[in-house]
Amino acid sequence: MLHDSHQRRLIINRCWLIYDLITKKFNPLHEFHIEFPSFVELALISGYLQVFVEITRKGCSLRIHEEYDFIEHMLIIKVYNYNLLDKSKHSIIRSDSLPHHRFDYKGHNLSHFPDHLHDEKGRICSFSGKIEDFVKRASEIIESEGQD
Amino acid sequence: MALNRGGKKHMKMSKEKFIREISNLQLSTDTAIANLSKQLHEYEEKYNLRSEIFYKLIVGTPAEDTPDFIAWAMCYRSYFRILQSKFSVEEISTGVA
Repeated sequence: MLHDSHQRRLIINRCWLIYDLITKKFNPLHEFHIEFPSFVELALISGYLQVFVEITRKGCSLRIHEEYDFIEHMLIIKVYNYNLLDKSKHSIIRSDSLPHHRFDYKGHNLSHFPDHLHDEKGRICSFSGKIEDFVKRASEIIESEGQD
Repeated sequence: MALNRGGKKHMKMSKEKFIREISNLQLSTDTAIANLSKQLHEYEEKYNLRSEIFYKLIVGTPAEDTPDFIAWAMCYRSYFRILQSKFSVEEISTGVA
């Protein structure tokens, strides 16, 4: 097994936070609740969480990828990629932590470099790097389009 | 109890149940390797590029900034992390230095 018990606990807590967040903000299909433990299980072995969940009747979905590492006793998210997709699986908004952008589309420094978000128009925007903020924004988009 | 979009009862787990469910599952390292290997193969088919070449050519460059490529790179690193972990455990247990 890749991780010791403390590291396993940290990964489980992180996965719980994500599960709790998704199920509080959205109303995923029944299958999501059945599948989610297997996503966690793979994350416990590989240090890589992959979640795909349909969140609206019209077929919008969230794709969440996080790669974990540990520094001393802390879990860090080494790389992430959060994506809100339409029914054709095209990205509506997405965010990641790759250091390929330093400025937002207005030319201002990113507030939390390297974290950034590609908005609905594909423009680079500042982003906190927190999944809570991404899910909140995704939820606002879904509500504004009346897709729930 | 409310119904969800599939017309079935909400199944949201409590944290206790969530932990219990995870404890009950026993995915083997080999299955995890096979799972990631399958995903790598799908990316290779889709982009007609071997993962090793993709990793050398694309990762760390601005071209990496697409959802598929970010996920492919994560998958590739994770695949090798499990392999490395598996073989170090096996080497220790068989006494190989």
